[in-house]
Amino acid sequence: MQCPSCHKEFDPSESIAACASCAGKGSCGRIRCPHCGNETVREPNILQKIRNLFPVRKKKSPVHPGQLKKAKLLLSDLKQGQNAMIEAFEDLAHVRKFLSLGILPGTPVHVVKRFPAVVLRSGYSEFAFDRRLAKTVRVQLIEDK
Amino acid sequence: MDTEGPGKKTTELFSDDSTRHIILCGPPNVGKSMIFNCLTGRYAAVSNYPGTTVEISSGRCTLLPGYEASDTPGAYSLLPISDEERVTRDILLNLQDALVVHVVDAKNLRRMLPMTLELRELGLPMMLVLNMMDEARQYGVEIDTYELSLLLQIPVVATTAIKGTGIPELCRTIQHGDFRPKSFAMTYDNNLRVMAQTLGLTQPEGTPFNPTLLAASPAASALPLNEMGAFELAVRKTRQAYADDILASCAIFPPRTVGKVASVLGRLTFNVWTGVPIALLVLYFGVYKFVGQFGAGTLVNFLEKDLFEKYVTPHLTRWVEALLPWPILQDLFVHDFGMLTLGLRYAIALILPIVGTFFLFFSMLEDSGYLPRLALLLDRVFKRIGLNGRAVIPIILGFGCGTMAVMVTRILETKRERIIATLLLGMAIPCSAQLGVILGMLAGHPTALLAWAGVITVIFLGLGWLGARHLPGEAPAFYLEMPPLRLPKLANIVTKTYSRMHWYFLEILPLFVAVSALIWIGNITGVFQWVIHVIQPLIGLMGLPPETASAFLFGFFRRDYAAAGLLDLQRNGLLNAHQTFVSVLVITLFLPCVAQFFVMKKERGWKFTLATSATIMVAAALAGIISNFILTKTGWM
Repeated sequence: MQCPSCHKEFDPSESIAACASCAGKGSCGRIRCPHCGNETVREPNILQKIRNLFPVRKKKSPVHPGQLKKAKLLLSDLKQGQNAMIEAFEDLAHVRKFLSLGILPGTPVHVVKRFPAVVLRSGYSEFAFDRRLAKTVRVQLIEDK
Repeated sequence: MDTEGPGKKTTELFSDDSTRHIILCGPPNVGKSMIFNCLTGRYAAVSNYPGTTVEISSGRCTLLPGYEASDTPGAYSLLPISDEERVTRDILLNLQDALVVHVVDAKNLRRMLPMTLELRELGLPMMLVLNMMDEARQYGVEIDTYELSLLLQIPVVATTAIKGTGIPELCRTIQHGDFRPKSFAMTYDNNLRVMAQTLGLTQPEGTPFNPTLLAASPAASALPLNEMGAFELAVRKTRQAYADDILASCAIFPPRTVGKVASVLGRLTFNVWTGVPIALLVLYFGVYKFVGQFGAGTLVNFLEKDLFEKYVTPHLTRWVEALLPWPILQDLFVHDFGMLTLGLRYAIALILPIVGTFFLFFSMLEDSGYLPRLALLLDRVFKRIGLNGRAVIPIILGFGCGTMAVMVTRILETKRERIIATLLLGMAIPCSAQLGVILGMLAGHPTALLAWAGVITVIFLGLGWLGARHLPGEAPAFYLEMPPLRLPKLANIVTKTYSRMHWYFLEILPLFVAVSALIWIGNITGVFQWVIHVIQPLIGLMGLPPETASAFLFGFFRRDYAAAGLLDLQRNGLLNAHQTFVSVLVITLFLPCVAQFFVMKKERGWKFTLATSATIMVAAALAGIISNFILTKTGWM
């Protein structure tokens, strides 16, 4: 989600770390931005699901200097229909599995499906990888023109 | 899979020195087996998913006199992941005086060419075959084979093996092509040399720097996966750059256009909401309607009642009785447990139609490319039981023939997964012969059928879950190429079904006849009665009539034989609904057949096989006793 105060993206699970010092341990239903410490109300899961049903194209927010350093994006983070380029493999123990299917750093891929496993299209073929493998690949998003 | 089946040794590679050898190699699912079939006129199984070939099969080329071809399991590279790839690599590295035919999928040349370069580096006499040219053209791919052969300095031929185009040219090239060794070397980054040195990889003295040889050095297998991974990544990057360079001047790969009917249908099979109903429909029509009702019902009825009971059995009996005056010898061939009236009848009238319809169904599934989609769909469930989605292929094949399925567990990557899959195949997966008989027996009792399916599913999941919890090893990873959905080709389905039936029939008929003979001996000597006497209390605990004891005794030889025996009893009205349920449950869980037992031993070793068998026997007996207890107490059924 996005912090309404500093506009930085963060994962709700990161908030737990931010309130580690509080006795409430996150039971207050509020969520604290790990970047600026601003508290907001957590968005109910159901609302989030409904929102995901109707994907809205995000408006480009003005770039803040702090935002320039991009968080790393993993293959498992990509959404259905997105295009990306493989950047690097984080866990080299699994690298042969990708190499054998012709997926190398620099290969452009298209996400066909992300559940029950990530299905990628690369060239004229489609490949399935489970989440655990998808999490070991760093990618770079290719924006649609 | 070799048509000669398990147990029998495949022809030794290079048995004869006067013939010239061709080794077909290449990535999985590019049609190596199809080309093998074209060249040799023999049959090696062909289907639409990676990993069909698990054994090397060899055969004389009918199209090329004096040549012998070998089909190898698919390998993406000579830096091996799986055991099959290791097999292929070791063959290729130790080759002497053979022609390597590297087969690739033309439309995926970009990612397959690095392996061609790898083979080129080894300096083997070789050529490249661009197969599936028709599909590549559909995508608008253009490849200048002449230019490519100049750049690679090896002959290049384009084929569409499934239609037979390009095969004559391939034969001509094999006979007259220029395979003189030409030097080929790639320049590797100096960092790679340093990396190899720090990893302690070595290659034979005097050979130029070669990553494949380095990776095959003994030190490599002891290295942690991530360090080898780093090395492989660096090597692959270099080779890919070379490949891209070559392709830039001789091939065009236009961007893919989507929107074909098959790809829309393919999408639907991926989606959980549409995929699960599709899977259920496929199973309902394929297994229940086609195999269960048509195969085990209509066909069996026709063969049993109309053919055997009316004509074959009476004629055989009269004939044997006239020929052999001694009742004891008569019993060997005819009467209740005769080799002809029991063994032959079971094999032909009960088992053959059921197995045949199953194999027909399975061949259609294989060729359509649906199985990898099912694997994707079931991956999450399979992870819970310590397997990955890929295990769908052996597990479903297990519903056809457990023996074949145990061999196919080789497509699984880790030893842990293979053990779990073998265990599940031994215990909770009934083979088609059994399944058909079971469906036939339970056809009149829908609740019993549901209860049976429920209990078996629970046992399957429970056993897998226990295995996953207690066996050491890493959790499995799932990655699989999804082949496009293709309309199955009638000719291929028929040949495949025929070749499987042929294998199966050769496998079971002698066993059935032998079991009949054994029973005959047991009957005369009294051993048989004694064993039945011993297991009778156990049968009693399960609430079954004493006659079932003999059926279970046969079960030691083959589960389906026992199931067929039970079906016989039920048809004669000796089993009520309750007893049918219990006996069916026990027979499902029961020990695998003799053939599966031996394949298990071959693949997993004695210790595993004996321990598994003992566990299965105890579990089957317990399940029978418990279910009988519950059914009696509740009075259900």
